[in-house]
Amino acid sequence: MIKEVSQMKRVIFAIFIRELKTRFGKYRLGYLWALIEPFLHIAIFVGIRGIIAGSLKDAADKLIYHVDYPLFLAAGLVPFFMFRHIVNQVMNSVDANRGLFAYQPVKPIDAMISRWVLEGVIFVIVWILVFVILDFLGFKTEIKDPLGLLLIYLLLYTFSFGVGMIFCMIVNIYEELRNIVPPLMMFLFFTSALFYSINMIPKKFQIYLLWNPCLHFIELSRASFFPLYKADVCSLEFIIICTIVALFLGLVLYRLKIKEVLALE
Amino acid sequence: MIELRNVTKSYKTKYGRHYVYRNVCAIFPEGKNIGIIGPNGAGKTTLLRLIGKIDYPDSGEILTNKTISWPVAFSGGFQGSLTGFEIVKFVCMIYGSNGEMPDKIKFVKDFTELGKYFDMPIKTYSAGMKARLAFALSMAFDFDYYLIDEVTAVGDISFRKKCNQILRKKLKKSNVIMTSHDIEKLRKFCHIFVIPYQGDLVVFDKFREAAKFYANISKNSAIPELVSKAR
Repeated sequence: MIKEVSQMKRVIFAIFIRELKTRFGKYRLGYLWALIEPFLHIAIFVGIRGIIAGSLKDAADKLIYHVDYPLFLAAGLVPFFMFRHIVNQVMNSVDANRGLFAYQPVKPIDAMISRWVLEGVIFVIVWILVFVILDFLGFKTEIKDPLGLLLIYLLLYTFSFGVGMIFCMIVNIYEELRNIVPPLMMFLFFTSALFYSINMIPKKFQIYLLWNPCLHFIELSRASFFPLYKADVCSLEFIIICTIVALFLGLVLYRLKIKEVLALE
Repeated sequence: MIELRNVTKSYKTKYGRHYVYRNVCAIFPEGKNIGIIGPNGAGKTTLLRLIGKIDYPDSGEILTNKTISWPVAFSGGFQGSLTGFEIVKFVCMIYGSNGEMPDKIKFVKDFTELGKYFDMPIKTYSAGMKARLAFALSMAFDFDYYLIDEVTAVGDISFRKKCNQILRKKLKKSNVIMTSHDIEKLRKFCHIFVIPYQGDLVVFDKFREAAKFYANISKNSAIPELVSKAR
């Protein structure tokens, strides 16, 4: 048992190093892209609001439930992008690393975990840099409940891995379903309260949006982040259950179907 | 020893499921080199992949207490942006031979004669250079069984000579499982001859019997079931 665990650790580390070199290696600006992505989105949403308000400065200074708009956006977009990257990366990990499974110590789950870990590392770095840069630009805040925030991020991190595993098994068995993942991500992008608050939505529509677990993750993380922000309609129990179910389902599907997936070519 | 227990393996085809193996039971005894012979499409590579645990049977199991290599000269894990050096390091890491890493790297570097290319990305390699790296990498590790798919020589004559030399040296301690559609090529290495035939494996321990049987079935098609269905 201990031998297996240490072997798994070795393999995950080796693939991690490999992924580190190849994840952004093909792009000109390399790892900088991880940072460009959230800032580009923040700029777009501030820009849209600026056009509507007639002034960019007003848009940037606009407060949403006592939070600066750029900070509000960053607190939604950065964790959401982590979710999206983990789901995509874990989903494609089996296909991308098929060549490695000829080496007997390498198991598909090792490839999944190393990609998951890499995305986690990228998230931490991007998160710190984004909020440091925003602070430098004059959008300052304190973190109300750092431990609560950490807990919600960890739940989201685990939830993303579970969803990634489920998707990985599904798209490898039903290849055509790969096509619905991008529209699904787009749908989640608009329904996860990234650039609006659930508090702005009329009560009678809230009940529909509240089916989306991503929205709960984002809004609860904002509520632990910003001192005066509230997300009373969101539920911590719901995301805990979602995380457990996603992880459990992902592992069960992996256990039952991975040999079938590897046998397909 | 390698034991196949009730192994069934099928693939989906246009004409329905094609069974490569149906409830195959076979035992390959210890210390023997195994040659798998068959025409194209007979299931040679499938058997090799099943033994190497790259592919899995629909049902049944393959048991062994020996270490088995990846297919020798396999270059599927070579990502274009990585250098030869990084690939060797990667494989050393996953097989947990960090202590011997410098030796293995030196061995591969000397054996492949890649020179400065050893520290350049794989995508700059020619096909021959890639094949050299793949072969040398397999030989840098010790296994009880080496899997060799389609014994084809890589590189020029001098490199081929070197390959044969090191393979013979390896064979003193280890065994090989090799495939070919040409039975003569297996004659000098193998003790046991395995012929996939109609969803089963026919095992011979005498070359002459195997050759006779193979000549007999070669008159027929490789995949009799498919032919009869197409008719």
